[in-house]
Amino acid sequence: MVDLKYIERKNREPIKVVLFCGSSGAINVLENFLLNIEQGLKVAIVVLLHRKKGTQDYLVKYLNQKICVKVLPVEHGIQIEKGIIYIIPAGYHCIMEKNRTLSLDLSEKVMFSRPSADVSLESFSFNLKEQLIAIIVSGANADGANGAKWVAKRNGKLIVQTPKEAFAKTMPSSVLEAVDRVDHIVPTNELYNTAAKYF
Amino acid sequence: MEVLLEITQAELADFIEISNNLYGVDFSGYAQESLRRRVLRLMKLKECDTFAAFKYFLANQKLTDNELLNEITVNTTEMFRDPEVFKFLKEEVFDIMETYPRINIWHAGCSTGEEPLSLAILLKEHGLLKRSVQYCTDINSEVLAQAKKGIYELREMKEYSTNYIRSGGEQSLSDYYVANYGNVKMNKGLGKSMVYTKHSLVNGSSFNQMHMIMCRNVFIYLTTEQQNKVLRLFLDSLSPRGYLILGAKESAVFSTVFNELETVNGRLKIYRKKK
Ligand SMILES: C[S@@+](CC[C@H](N)C(=O)[O-])C[C@H]1O[C@@H](n2cnc3c(N)ncnc32)[C@H](O)[C@@H]1O
Repeated sequence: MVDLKYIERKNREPIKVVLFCGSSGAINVLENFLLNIEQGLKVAIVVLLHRKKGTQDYLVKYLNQKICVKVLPVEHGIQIEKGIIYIIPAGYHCIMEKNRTLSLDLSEKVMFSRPSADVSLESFSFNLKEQLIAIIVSGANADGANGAKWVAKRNGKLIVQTPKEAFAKTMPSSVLEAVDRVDHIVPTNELYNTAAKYF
Repeated sequence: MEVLLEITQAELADFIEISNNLYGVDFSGYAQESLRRRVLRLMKLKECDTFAAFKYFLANQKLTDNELLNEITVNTTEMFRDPEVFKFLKEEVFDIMETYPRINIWHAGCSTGEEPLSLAILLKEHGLLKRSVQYCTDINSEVLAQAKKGIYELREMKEYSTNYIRSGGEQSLSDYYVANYGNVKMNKGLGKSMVYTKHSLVNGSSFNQMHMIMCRNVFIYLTTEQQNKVLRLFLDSLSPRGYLILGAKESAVFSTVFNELETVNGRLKIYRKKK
């Protein structure tokens, strides 16, 4: 018998959420980032990459073989939990409801992208405030810069890949231009340890 | 610099009330976060810098009911979206439906009609179109009017053709339309099986004896409670052993009526009413 009270309590317990955003050239950075994870991960990680439709299943499968914690595709209405990595499907925006429940949305592309980092960063920061740790890495368009403003305004953490190190530097550079002060600008190899300080 | 527009939960509740009272549109069953984003988008569009200004704008009835619906709801759709789903229907489900003298299909939230047309094409290739009736409903009468016209943009057709082939299509998609400048007009014959009706899933009545209900990418806009109510409506509308197809990223697993459904293919979100 499931103890409903226990579930409710568990659901209300605040957890930190990492939102990892990238576009072209980001897959390698993501893999490098995730390979640092050890059992007992104390946060939830949500991954937003600009990808072609239909490439979702492959990435989830691939990462599940490589990473020691569970990797799941985002479905509408799931409540995210610590210790799990979630991959946003191509073709949908991903937003956060109360109680860390994720919704998907098919509204217009933003910055030519769906999923768009601007959309998720704004929505996640609205619901998570300072519990959000946003990471922005390689990408060839400026998606994410507007969203980063919201993260900063709502006291979330902003970690940006050193643009010089990025395969495509527009995405990280635009964030640096848009926001007065980000929390960290670090090379690829230090992204995980920098984020982990907040876990 | 661009202003960072914000609205609070309370203001959103206010918006829901105003829409209901002044425009007769009930958004209370809609998921909060997408609604919040849509309202912010509409405020920007109408150049309202504060919620108070937006409220004034709405109170003075600066929109028509349908405009409000159009701006808040999302109508994005495609032909042969998620080809695997269509392929499954063609390979596993059509043979069962072949035994029915008349096939009733309900496309709930059909938007501009791409989805019903996709199914019509596959039904035709299976020799089932003539005995099918496809009820196409949506809350938005404007999208239904577009669906009736059957005119779409030519530049979309390349992707649709690929997905048509992936769905198990046996001909060429271009056999089903005539291109004219930037547009295509779908063949009239496909539309013969369609009945278009304005209908809201939030407070509308049930249908009778449906053999299949397709309702994809509508649940993503509704609260869990509202989804449960709509699933109840679907169960009441399905004939025994009727099929229910949800969107690729939606699920009936969490619902209160899940025990009345059998999962035919969980990954593709194809369910069947138990009896
Ligand atoms: C994103 S579209 C999905 C179209 C199509 N089923 C697909 O998956 O490609 C969602 C549609 O649901 C309709 N809709 C929203 N609320 C509704 C309601 N309460 N009753 C009926 N339709 C509704 C919208 O007007 C819109 O056309």
